[in-house]
Amino acid sequence: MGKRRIDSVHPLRRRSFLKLAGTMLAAPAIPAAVRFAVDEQLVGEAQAFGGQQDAPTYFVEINLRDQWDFMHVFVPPGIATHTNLIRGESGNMCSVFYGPEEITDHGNGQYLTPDSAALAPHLDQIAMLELFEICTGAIHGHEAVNAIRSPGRSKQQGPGQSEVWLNEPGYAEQGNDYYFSSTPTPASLHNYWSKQLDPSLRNGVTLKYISRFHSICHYGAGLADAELTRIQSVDQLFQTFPEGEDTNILPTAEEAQLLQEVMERVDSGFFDRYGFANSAHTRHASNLSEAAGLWYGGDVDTVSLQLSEEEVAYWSEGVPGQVGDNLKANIWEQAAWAFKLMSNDVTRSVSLEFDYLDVHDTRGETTMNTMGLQCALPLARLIESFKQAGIWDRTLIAVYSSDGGRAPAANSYGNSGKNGMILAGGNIRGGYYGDVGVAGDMGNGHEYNYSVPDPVTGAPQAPVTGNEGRLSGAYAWRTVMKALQVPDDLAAQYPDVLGSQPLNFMLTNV
Amino acid sequence: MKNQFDPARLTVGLAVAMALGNATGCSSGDNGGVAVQGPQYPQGDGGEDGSGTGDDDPAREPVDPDAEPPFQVPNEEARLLPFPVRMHNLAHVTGQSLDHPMYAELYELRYQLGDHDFAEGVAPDLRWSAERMQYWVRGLRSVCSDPQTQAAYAGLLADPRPMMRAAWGRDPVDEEVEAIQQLRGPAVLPADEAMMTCIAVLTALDFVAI
Repeated sequence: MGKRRIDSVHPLRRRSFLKLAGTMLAAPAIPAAVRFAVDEQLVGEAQAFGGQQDAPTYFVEINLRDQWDFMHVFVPPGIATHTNLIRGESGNMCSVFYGPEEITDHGNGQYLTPDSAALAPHLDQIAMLELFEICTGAIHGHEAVNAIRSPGRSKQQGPGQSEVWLNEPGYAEQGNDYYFSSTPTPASLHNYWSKQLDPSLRNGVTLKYISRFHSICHYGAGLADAELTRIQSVDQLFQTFPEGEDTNILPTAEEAQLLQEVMERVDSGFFDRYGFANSAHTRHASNLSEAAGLWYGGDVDTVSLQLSEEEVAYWSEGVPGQVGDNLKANIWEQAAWAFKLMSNDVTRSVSLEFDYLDVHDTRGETTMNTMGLQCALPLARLIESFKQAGIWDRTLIAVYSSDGGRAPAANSYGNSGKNGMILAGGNIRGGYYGDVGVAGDMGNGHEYNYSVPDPVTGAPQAPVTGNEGRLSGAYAWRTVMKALQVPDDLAAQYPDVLGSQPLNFMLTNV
Repeated sequence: MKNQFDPARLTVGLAVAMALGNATGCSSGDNGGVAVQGPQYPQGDGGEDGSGTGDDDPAREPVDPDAEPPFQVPNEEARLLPFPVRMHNLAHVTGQSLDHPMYAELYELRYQLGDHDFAEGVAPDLRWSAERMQYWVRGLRSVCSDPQTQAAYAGLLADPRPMMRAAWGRDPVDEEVEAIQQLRGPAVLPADEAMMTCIAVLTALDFVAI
């Protein structure tokens, strides 16, 4: 076997060279055969064959809280096409504030409003399904986990399950609840997998910018390298990724390596002395190993997270500001920072946490417009930017209504009706799957029904008016993992997803 | 060798931990006053557009007042002492008060190192992650290279035990001393040996963790 060409590139330059090569090869005009041939020359035939499996993927997990309603992003077909729909902000009126003349039909069940029109050029790779099992938090469904992010999560600790909330700073019960699980949350598992593929990557991050005491749980399920770095303020983000500084703390790689080895020896007795589990020692060793790369990382490129005037103008245009108690960061800023981190290949797993202050009783037009714009515009710009960067075919964006969605009725909570996600990415087959419609009139509006898609074909099944028959969260989770090209033998090892398959009708890489 | 705890360090640590727990409304049950539950926030969800209306949620399940909270001290990961506790312990080791410039970088990185600022929505984060190790070592450089620290432990390279004892509150075992003295090997620039030794002692779990 011939020497791999990549071995002739200086180790410190390999990563940037491969990134450049990957970007060039990802261009749509490059035939697959050419892509394979170049891969074969660079990394060898065996790895070229396995290239699809081991190719890096980029994951933006957008967690929207306080029972986000996607109604002004994708209007379900049954609502969009219903004649004489009673719209309004109270009771059983339907919380869609655009009339039939303003809602546009794009096929595949995708109906957009003026708030979400920016998504139109990308609809072939945007899928929505919002009929997963309903959230179970004590306060009308509010929770910080969600079965679609961690299937099998439970308030009672079962075999193999651990506390999901332990790594969340300032975690409190109200509106979050205490859950146990054995299934890692998506960005955490993706972070683990990405670092297996490339140990030089910076750890994945989650931007904890929800304005309230509400949180989002990220859970590595005991995997040593899975836990995301929690960033609680904008200052922390900029300190985590400083611009233009000498990031080397120690003068040489040898000193960093030696310090790692010394700390492993010095700390080894600590865990026995205080009765820690073996996993604590393993995790500590893993952290020390990663720290050595941070103490001395060589001549690495830094990324500037500071947004230029042009970038601010691009990302912010038309996006309403955060609505909440203790405002931390706008959703468009978070999207811009996520794109910068990923397009510079600093890290490949970024979670955003954002909220629209919980709305009770009435949900008016302003609320719905704001949510629609805050969701659709950053999503459209992320897609557009990833496409321009040439890494869209290896990117997945998942937008979750992380503590449940809403029934169409204006006066509804997250413990009825919907719980869903939008997926956008290179491996996604566009469409609105399932349906929500009008079953009849009730009170000052309607009673609504829900047609859950068949998990194999995607075809809507017979409608129901209650919460029954929703798809298991395991389907959502497996679909996300498949879209991210996480190997099946890694993704399927968790008992609560073992018997479920991805929803292949939402995917193109089946 | 029998471990010997340093009462001064223990007293300072516990006092600050208890003060922090009281100040932040954190649980101080079985874990010696170390903050684990984070801030106590106002009750009740807000109304639309921030017009809070108190706890008007109709569907909240009753809470059993006798139920044990589902929290136990985690044994699957070493957790840091609260940042103020670490800093007070550091002042004890160096003999210099916390307004000394040698601590400036650590204070600049305080939120990266797990400190809290509830007014800004930043809760304590006491995981001893790789990135926190990075920032801790970065901040320690000025502490360990400060002439007053070096004067306090002038014989550090020959015998690191006094600093280890002061920092860890116990006598180190031979294995630990040998490990620390690895830093005098050829991989370390001679000019860096004392600073690296100091950093290692002050980065050990026995110093930073619960």
